[in-house]
Amino acid sequence: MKKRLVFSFCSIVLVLSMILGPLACGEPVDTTTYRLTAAVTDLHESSNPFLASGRGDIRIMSRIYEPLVVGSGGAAIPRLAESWSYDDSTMSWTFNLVQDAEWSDGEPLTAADVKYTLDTQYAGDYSGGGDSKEFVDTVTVVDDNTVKITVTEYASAFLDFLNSMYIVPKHIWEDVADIDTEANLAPVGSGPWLWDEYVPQSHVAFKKNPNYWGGTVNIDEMVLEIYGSQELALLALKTGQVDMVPTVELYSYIPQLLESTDVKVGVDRAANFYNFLFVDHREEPNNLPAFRQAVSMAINRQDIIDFALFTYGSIPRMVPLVPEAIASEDVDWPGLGMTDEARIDEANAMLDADSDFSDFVEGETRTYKGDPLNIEMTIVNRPADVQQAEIIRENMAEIGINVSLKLIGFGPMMGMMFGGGWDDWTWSTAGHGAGGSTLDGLAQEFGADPYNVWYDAPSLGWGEDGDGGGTTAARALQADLRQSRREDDPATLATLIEQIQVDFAAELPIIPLSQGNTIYAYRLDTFTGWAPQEEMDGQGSSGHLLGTINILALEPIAQ
Amino acid sequence: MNWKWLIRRLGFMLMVLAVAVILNFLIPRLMPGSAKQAYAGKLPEAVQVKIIARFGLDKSIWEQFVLYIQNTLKGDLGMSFSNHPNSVTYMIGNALPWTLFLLLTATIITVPLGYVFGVIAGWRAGSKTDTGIQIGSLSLLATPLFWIAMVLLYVFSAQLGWFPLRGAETAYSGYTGLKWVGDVLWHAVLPVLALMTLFGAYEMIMRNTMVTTLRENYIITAEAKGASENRVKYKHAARNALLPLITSVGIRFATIVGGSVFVENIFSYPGIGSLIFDAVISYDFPLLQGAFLIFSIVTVVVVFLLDLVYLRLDPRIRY
Repeated sequence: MKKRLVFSFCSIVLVLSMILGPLACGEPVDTTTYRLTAAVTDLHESSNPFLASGRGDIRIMSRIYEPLVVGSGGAAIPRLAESWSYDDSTMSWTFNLVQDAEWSDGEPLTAADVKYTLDTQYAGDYSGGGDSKEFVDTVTVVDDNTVKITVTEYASAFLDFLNSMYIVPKHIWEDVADIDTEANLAPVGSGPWLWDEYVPQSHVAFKKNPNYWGGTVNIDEMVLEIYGSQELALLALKTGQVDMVPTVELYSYIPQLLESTDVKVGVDRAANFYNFLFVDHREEPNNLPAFRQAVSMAINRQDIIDFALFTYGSIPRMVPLVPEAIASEDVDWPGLGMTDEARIDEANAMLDADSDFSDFVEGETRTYKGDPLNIEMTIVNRPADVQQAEIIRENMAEIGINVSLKLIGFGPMMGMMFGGGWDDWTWSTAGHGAGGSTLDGLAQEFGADPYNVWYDAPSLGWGEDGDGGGTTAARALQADLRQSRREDDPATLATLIEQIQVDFAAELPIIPLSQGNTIYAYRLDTFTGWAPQEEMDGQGSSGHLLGTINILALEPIAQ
Repeated sequence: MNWKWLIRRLGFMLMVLAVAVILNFLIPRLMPGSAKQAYAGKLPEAVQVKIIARFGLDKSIWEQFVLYIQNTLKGDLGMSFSNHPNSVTYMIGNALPWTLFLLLTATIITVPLGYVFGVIAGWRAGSKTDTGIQIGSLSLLATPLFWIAMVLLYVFSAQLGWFPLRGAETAYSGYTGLKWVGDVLWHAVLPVLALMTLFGAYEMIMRNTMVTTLRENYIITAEAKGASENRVKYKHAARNALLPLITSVGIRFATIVGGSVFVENIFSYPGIGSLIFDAVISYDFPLLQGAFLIFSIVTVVVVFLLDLVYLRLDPRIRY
């Protein structure tokens, strides 16, 4: 009898769950509350703006805190600073803050908050503001709405660096005993959203900031739901369970999304990101330019675009870090246009020419100085990255290099690469360089400084002494480049850019793989007024949909 | 039950936990790469220094082990690398209730189901009913758990839309009371169904033991005395055939715990399994160690409770 009771109870629980659940959840929470729901796949790790570093963190911090400027379409656009100027004679930037901006607790936002933020970021060696700390000498409060930043050297990317400098309220943070252990679970910010609820591994919920200085938010709530995979996130969008997917990384799913008339897929072919193959130059034979060129020659970039990016990308220029506006059209990929067979033969011939490499034998792994070329390639566990890595692995097998794949998260990948933590052969396809359009904008405004990017990747170990500083010639070239920009000498600048491209092609310190397009998707039946615009703050995490420009434009459709 | 047995049993549990603690320390460190490397550039230098000092990541493996044991004994599971500055206790505290809910619900439903179908199949061994049940059980046993989970998700969530695609509850719903209970149950149906694949194992154990038991003389005696079919089936045969099933539940609980890592990930269920997956990807040693430790404790406690059930069910056993 007892057993029957237990069995009956369990059966009833199961059946009730199938009936009660849909009944309980079939109706909206509150018909007068408009909620925007986004599906994201990056986990939220820290709510402390000084410690936030992962994409998930930055995406959430960017909703609550704001920088002085954000990047859009390659140019800096105002956010907390309504205007700014650079004075070459005093080597200082002056930022005029927006009038009447206030924190979510009602306190006014002033220049003292900006000074406090910058001083604390730099003193604590936190990641906010990127490399700006290399250039900043002093931060001075001129008046409540004006702050002056004196720099030691002009940097073309200075405003770009400030994208990730979230201004925090001094009156809150100066009372925090230890910033490094502060969880900050009730953030006070200046952005359009107020933090309301965080459930680890599930979601982060925001309520609109009714007093947002930048305009009226027409949505009451926003929930970022954390999905375990891009497949699920896109499925949720297609089935109407969420309103948007801010970043689409599973290109193979796009055709299915396009089938739905309620879903709009946005492709910004101007907002590019680059995929690179980073090699550790401290390890042989990675340090040999001929080896890197052979590897580059063997890679089938068209396959990467067709089968990993599903045509949402293009062949990168050989020197993608040179702004489009001033790039030379003469330098192109060796091997581009050759048949696959000819390209692989050429790559094999390049390696066979060096006696340290064993000759290529079909189906066998080559050796270098007697050791087999077994290479571990570390990649971020994102679909397109894995697909690209598989193509590279096949290509490498064709020239006798055995590649194994190691999947890790985005955060550890960045830590490993830029923290100097490489201790073995570690290749990566995770590097997302600055968008071409961003550099275009910077070039127009400040002049180009393409060498910065590969100089500022110390973990590559590229250079004569393996310290990541590049070669003596490259250093001299960079110094000349900066000098020509200061002297406003476009003719010299163009010559130097040309030289950089030739130099890059010869050295290939990093190997460009592809140029991907930024893709996002949203539903048309829940909100209207979509105004997707590239809005980069932090690590470009706002993308097109979560940025303030789009959020202020959205209007809910009454159901 | 005497106290000596209980003390001996508890001592045994502590020994098992001690071995688990040692393995918890070693296994994450056998992964290629290191946490120090992975986080070298992610956190500010000052924070790195603090974390490295706190967890002794710059010390030898033996020194790290002593530090780990000291901290564990103090109940300090450390700070999560990937969720810094949240503590491991905070992360596990959020996730554990969901995992326990899934595991216990699946077990509570699966064991009686396995029992009942096993009894029916064993009673009618060789019949069409038996063959049908065996085909079902074997199919479930032979199909990988993650595959079943994905099929359930695809069919019932993605295609039919009967169940949600993710999570343990509707995000930011504000539901309370019965509505919340209904919501949680609705989200749990598919993950629980996926974890119920162990039904096949339980049914087969019960069925085979039942067939053997039915050949015993006391069953013939009971039938000769004119006992009803149900009485012979459940009171005399099934009760005696139950013991191997209970043993199996203890052994297989560890399997279902492992299965929860896959199931939670597929359904984006915010439990310990998802935490473990993320911790592996992020080289989050403290979180991995904490999660494994909790799984070990849960498994040991469940096995102990089953020992007590065994004691209750088998009058021949006296400790």
